[in-house]
Amino acid sequence: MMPALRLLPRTLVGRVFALYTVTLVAFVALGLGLFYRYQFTVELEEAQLRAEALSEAIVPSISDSAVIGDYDSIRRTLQHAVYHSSFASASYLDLAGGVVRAPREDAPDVAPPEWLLNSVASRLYDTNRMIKVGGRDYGVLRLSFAPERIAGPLWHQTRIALALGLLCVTGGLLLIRFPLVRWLGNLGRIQAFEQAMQNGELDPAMLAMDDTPLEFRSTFEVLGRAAASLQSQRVQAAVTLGAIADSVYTLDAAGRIVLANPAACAITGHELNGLLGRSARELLPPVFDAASDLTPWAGRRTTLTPPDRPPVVLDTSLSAILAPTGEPAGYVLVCRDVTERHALDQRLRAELQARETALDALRKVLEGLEHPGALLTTETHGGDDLQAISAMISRLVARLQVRGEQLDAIFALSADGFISFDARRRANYVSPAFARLTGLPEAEVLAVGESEIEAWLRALCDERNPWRGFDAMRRDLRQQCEGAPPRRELIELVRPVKRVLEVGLREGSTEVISQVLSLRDVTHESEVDQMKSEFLSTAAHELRTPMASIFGFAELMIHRRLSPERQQEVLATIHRQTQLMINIVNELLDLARIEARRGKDFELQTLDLAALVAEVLHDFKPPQERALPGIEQPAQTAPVRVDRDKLVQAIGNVLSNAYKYSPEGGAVGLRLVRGTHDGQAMVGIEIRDQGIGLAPHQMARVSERFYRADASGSIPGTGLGMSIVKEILELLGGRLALASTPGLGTTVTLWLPCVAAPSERSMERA
Amino acid sequence: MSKVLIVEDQSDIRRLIRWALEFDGHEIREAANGETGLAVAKVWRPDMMVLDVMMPGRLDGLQVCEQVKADPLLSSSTRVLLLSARTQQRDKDAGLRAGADAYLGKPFSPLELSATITRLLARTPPPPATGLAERPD
Repeated sequence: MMPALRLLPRTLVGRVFALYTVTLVAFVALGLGLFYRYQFTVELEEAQLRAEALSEAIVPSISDSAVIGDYDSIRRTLQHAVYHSSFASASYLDLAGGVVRAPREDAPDVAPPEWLLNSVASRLYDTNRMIKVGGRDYGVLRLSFAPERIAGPLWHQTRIALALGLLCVTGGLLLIRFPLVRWLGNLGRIQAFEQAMQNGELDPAMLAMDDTPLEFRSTFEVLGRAAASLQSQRVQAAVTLGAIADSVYTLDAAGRIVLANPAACAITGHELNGLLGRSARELLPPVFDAASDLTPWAGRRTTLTPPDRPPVVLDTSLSAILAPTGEPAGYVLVCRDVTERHALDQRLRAELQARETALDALRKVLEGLEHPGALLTTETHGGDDLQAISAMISRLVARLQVRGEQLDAIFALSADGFISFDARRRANYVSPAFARLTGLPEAEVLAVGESEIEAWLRALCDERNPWRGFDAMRRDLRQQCEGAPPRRELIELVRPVKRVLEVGLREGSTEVISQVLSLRDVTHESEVDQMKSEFLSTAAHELRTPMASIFGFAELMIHRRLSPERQQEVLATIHRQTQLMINIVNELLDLARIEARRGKDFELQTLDLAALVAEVLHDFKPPQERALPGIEQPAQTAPVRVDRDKLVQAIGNVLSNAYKYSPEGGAVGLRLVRGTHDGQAMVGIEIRDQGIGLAPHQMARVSERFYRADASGSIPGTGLGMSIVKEILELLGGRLALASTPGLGTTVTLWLPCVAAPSERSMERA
Repeated sequence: MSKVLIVEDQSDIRRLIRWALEFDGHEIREAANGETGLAVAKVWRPDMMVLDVMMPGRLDGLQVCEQVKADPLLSSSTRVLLLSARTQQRDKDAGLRAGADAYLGKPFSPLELSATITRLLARTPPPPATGLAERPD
């Protein structure tokens, strides 16, 4: 089988042609064989017959000649007979054994092959004819065939037939060859078709020809359609590959590039033709850097520096195209340009890092805020950071809220008002006290610029004494020396109520607060200041009055001649006025001491007021030898807690006034009274005179410093006595009460709070 | 001989002024407060009034001075010297605005007072109204 199959031509055309050749040769050979056989037989029969006929023909002649014994004639006859015949010789054998023989002398035309000669020779036999005349035998005519003369033409014929057969075979083969090749050759074009397909130059009409056999035509149509579909898929794939930004290389099993899309060309900087067939490993060394063999990978990141372009970061993956055998038939290398994403990743990473750092710092700050002063020893990192920070922030916020509420409460309760200004000098905080002091509602002032606020404040001020404004204050701030206390600046508001405010301006250095304007209500202080300066001026004035007398009289004494009486009078006046001055100075000192100490130097003790009053009266010397005060002693003791000396001084002042202001005389009475004030049991020393009395407007001014009900100077006094009394009483928790009718007298009551019964010892001491 | 009216609430000072001026030979009268002083001045028409600025009562020295200067009968013939323990410039200005001819602060020198008054009186007084001048005193 196998050798036979091996002999089979491989192509369809070859096979058909071989079959045809064999068939044709067989038929021609059969024809030739049959023809040969026929010719061979016929030729031999004809030769035999011709011999028969010849012998018949010449026998009479021979017989005649033999009879007469003319052997020459016989010879000639015989020679004639063999001339141009197919006999080798004709011979006549007489009975005597003589032989007349006539051989054919000429050489045969064609030399037949030996086998044919033999074959012919074997089939021919010599023709022997008895020569009988009249019953007598004269000899035998023998005709010997020349086989070569029979085989020669046969062979010639045969050769011609062979040549014809050969010609026929050759012509037939040639004749069949062209259509066979043409019709079946379509199949051969499939190869070209495939090549064209490979090259992408597919012409769908390539296979279709008019004379294509029907069977092939449909096959080719199917093939064409399949090829067209394949082609369109390839085009699609090519367009797709061309459209995607990723570079795609198709590699063969050895790693050579067989296909590359435009992106791939661009990234390598080569034309497509320059890429094809090159080793991807050589072309893209960084991509294959670590990989020793073509083991598929995915998602490997590589930096590649294309010619004339900045480096790109590629995300590469290599996939194997596996053949059915499991061996890799090729590879697809996909490189995605992730430069931007890579940069983005880097940035993201950096940002994450920065964020983590910031978060860490924030956490530390928060921890620092949470535990101020505490050193951070615990380092907690990880996922709970954010949670911890959130917790810290909420704790801080809670604390800030508490702090905010505290501050709000402090600001709300604070008597000082202020506005803070932001960087653009617009009010960003207005304290409640500011609104209260200026009457400018917080809501209206917020977010208003300083110039407008300045205008508003100026409108509130006394026109005669306007506020200088922000600019002037800032100038002062700049000129002021470091560390020096800020200058006190007072403004007088006339609206909403009359107030004196101390204005302060401080500059902040932060964005949030550029400056703070503070207002302090110093109305009371200012009044006190004014009172003090008035007091000082009044005191000086009061001192000038006696000094005017002393100075003037002394000068008169010096420069004028005065009578001795007048001189006496001048001296008396000077003495009296000097005494007055001494009194004023002493009482001023008393008052100043009392006011300065505010009772701190009081030596408080519990004693019986009745006993004390008795003691005071015992020591008291009424002026001008007048009668001692009449006293109405109470039945029981009256314990009070007082500074003994101060109270004695107060009682003395009041008693002295009672005598002074009853210049016409009249009894001065004293008694202890009881009462309550604000639920507190009080005991009072009531001192009554029958003097000039006080009008209501005078009574209101009695405790005013230097106020004197008598302005004529006839009643000596400093005008400070009752002020001292009032101060002492108030520091002892008591109060001064006055009742008076002008012309009838005045009643002064020194009220003191009662205390629990004193111990025996202190009573004794009192 | 000039007529001098002292209006001063303090008796010691009144006496001092009197003694200072008696020496110069003036005729002197005294008043202890503004109201009395003004009333005396209107009747007596002094050549000179020594007025204490700070006096108790309804009229202080400045008011008396203003009224004197506003009185056509007095303004031309009566000179006013104010005395005050208030010696600041603005007090002096207030006194001069009220029409005073001189202002002396306390304590004062009696000699200086005497000299000032002598000087003021030495100035030629404006001619008195004819009717008044011819009327016998």
